[in-house]
Amino acid sequence: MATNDVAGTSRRTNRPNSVNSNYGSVHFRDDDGSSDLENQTEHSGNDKDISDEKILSGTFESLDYDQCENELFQQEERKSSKAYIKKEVVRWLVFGLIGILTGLIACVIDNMVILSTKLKFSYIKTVVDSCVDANLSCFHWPFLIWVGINAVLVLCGAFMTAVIEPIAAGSGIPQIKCFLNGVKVPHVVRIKTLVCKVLGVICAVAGGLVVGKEGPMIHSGAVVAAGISQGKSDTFHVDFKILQYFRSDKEKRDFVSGGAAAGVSAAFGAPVGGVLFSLEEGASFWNQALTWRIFFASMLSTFSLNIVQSYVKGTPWSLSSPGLFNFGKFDTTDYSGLEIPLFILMGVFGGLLGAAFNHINYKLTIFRKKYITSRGTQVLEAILVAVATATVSYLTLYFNNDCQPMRKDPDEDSVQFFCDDGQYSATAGLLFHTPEESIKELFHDIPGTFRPATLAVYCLCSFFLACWTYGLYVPSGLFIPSILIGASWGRLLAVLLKSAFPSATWVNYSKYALLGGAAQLGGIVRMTISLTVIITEATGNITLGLPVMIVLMVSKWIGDIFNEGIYDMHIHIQGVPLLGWEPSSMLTNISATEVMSHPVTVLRSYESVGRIVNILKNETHNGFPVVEDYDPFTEESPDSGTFGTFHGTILRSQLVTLLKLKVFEEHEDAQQIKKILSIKDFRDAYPRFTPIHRINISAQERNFHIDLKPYFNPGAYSVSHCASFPRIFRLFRALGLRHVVVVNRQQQVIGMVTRKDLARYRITQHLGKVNMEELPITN
Amino acid sequence: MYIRYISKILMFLTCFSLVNSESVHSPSFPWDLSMDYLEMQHMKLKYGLTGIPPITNRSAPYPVYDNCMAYLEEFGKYASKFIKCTVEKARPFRFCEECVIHYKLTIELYSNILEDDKDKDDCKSLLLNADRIQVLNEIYNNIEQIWKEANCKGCFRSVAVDVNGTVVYKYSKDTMEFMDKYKVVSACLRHNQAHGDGNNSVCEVCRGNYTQLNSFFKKVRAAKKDSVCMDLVDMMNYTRLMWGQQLHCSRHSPDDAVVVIIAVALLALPVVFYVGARYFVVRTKRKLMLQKRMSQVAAQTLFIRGAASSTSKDDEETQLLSTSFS
Repeated sequence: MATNDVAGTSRRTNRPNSVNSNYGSVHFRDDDGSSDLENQTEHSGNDKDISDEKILSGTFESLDYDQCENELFQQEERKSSKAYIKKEVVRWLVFGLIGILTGLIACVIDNMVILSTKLKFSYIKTVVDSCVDANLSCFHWPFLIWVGINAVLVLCGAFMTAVIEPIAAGSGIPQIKCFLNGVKVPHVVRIKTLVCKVLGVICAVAGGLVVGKEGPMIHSGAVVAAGISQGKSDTFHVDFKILQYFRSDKEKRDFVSGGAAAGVSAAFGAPVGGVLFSLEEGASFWNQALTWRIFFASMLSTFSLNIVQSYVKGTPWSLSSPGLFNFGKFDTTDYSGLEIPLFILMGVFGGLLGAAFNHINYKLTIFRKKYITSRGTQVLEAILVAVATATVSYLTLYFNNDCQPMRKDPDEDSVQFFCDDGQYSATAGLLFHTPEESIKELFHDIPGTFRPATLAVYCLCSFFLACWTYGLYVPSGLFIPSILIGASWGRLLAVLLKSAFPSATWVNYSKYALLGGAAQLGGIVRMTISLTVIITEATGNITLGLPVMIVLMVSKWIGDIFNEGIYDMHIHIQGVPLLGWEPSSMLTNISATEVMSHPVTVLRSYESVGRIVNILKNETHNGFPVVEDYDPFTEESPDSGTFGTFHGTILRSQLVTLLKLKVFEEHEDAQQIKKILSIKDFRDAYPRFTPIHRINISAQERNFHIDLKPYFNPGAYSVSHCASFPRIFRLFRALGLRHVVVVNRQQQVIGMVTRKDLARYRITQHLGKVNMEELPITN
Repeated sequence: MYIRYISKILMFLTCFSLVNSESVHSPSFPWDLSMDYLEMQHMKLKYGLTGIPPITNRSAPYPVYDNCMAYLEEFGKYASKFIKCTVEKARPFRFCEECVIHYKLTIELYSNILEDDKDKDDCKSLLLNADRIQVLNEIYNNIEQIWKEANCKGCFRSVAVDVNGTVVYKYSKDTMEFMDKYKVVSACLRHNQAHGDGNNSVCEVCRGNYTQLNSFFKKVRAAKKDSVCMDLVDMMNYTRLMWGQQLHCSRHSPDDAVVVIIAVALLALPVVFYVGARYFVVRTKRKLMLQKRMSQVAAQTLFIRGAASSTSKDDEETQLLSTSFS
């Protein structure tokens, strides 16, 4: 039975399983009720190989962005109204501290990377030089030394990541995005992650991998924010007894978005870009006051970084030094309006190349997820990539040795390599640096520094190596590699243009290199406003704002035709139940009864300890509706469709705390316990709550009862069974909810909606087609 | 708009007439009032005189003023000599060595002018701060900049002007040593090339000398942190270019085979790794979660009948459906 239906017709019974449609007219392939059965049996057949991207992982939990307004909370609010101003002041201080600390961490990363790279290459250089001087055939020694050093460094980085803290792998931007969206990503903001991330990224960059340190800086900023806003450390078991009022997911979220912004601002010297990054990529929840505080943190972060950098560069407190611009200062950046078509073409090329990059990386990530799962293989893979990177670099040097005459007084670190005496190797100039220095050279070196062949080979190598590297178990940023790829083809384009129009004055190498970098970056990460501003700020040049913007816009459009941005792609491969900005209009005819989970485990407001313990042990859920008029022990009730009259919801963490403190009605000093019990007792355990199996409940206590009335959230949100998917989605998205209870007209609980229930409907776009899929969930 | 044209034409005409009249009547510009002004101001500042100085005719002596004019003349002489020298010695680059005398004299004179302040004839303000262009300063800065960029200071141990006004300079130890070695190398290269024994023999004969020079230069550069006198850098660069490009003495025989074998072996490792991972890693099976869903048939019946009253038929149906997916 296949009837075509136009979207918007109200056939609630339709459950579009896979909907193929073009823009404009939407065609549903109708499945009638019987397909439900097939559907479910298909899901339970485990051996079917479903692509990882098409599976939602059940291991992720939600964060509690919704305040639990139970009686205890209200009591505290009544008492603490005076503390409001103090809290605001402290909030500003914390944001300032986040900015400064993030800047300092960025500094540590920055200087350690520069230092270690310098050490490594000066050593290799002396070996090469001695080889040149000795005039012997000993060029395999520097090669082996190079490979060896890289392998050892990357081994350290990969060990730290794969074995000690796997969440520190990658750029960290996807993880932070998930966190800010309301998904609890385990370990993502722990101090251990921070340490692994910082040390790991230093090793990775110094180990010659094609990675940047920017993504990890952003992640570090987020960890710093989450850490110092809490006034305690669970890792070290220290509680400074301060900032207790910030110990909730909601407050932490704001700080983390500030930390991410401070990270960007330290990484690129772009405070406004940081705020916009947080807005565009990170924060799913945003308000004006928060913007200003985040900007404060960003500003302080850039500022503290610049102070330290000015000391490092030997000009203390000279904060206006152009050397502090990340990509160097652009002086001559004239462009004519007639060049804009050319810029658009560059955007198209960047978009295509970016889409190709993402596709290759997608296939690779799927492969890694399937086959490279043990820690040993993960570390080994990283080492192999490091070895291969060094090999490719050395081969590039060996077979494409771009010798330039040493007429001008050469740099300190120019390497002669196989060049004749009196020449230096331009290829070595590109390869014997940190990736960031190489970008500066591509942007700013005088015309004629690089041959077209050098640029082409360098571009190709860095494209494939970067693609191969991202997703390894090392901390790795993607910004710098992308710009590197783009800058090399941008400069190549300029060289070709120059040879085509030798008399043209508008062919400026820096300009084309920069726009190439922007196009490539836009094609891969698909950000718009924040990237434009970051690039503008990092180059200290507002004149090129329009070309950068055009290039980024076009590359995003072109890239989006083929696939999604690399961060979203990785989020989807991980199976994170991320909620997008807007529900798709294709989902309007899905109703609450389809979305919700149906047999609901409910608690009565006066519940026996034994039943609570059993439920907590047997169920993985984190929130339970509290109801009246419900008898759990009658046989037929679970299937009758309703579960008593809805009163509110209670969280697992609250129940655990109640059990731990033994707030049982039958206790002789029950009244005493209840009197001193405050919201603090619930907050103290945050964010790591004791698991249920670690709480001892005696057989006698199992017969006791708990009165949940003062503790559950009476103002919990509920929706009617008639509510549509978009309505529930918006409720979740705007309020950051964790649970919504579905009730019928008699306020009886019939179902429960969580983040996963919503996120399992996925809309994908490919080549102008829109598809809707319902994803299975893994355990 | 055309007013501007008219004014331009007028200006042109005036100029034309001026040139004409000058060429006809007098060989130079008329006597300039600015000199009178400066002399008057000078007298006023120095002696407190306010009267009108004798400006009867142009040959009237200005005693103080003439000192400063003498400075000007001297400076022009030295500076032009220096500039001439730099241009002439730009290639081959020997200008530190050759132009040091003119440089020193120019600089010395400039510092004399600087010292000539109010206590003396005050030529400082007269010559250096008199107008917008400040030609002297410009020239001086230019000279200093060229000197500094070429790191010429590094060539010499000391440069001084003695009582007779002649410049005495001493090369630094490094420079002397370098020059000695350089002479040896260049003599060697010339001699052997002239004999025409073939390039290889040149290389063999001179290699020792060349290596000595090269390593000495590297040592100096490392010690001085790249601020080596440009004369030496240039000599070295062209010696190297000669050695490498013309004589082909530094052709390395890169042992391609070893490097390529190592590279291929290393690049094969990832392939082996991935193939191994593909075929030997046992995949852990994913377990899909059974989602608890309400069947739509049940949902419909639920809403039709209301919560309280249920028929047994509906119950059976819901039960059937809910068990089927658990």
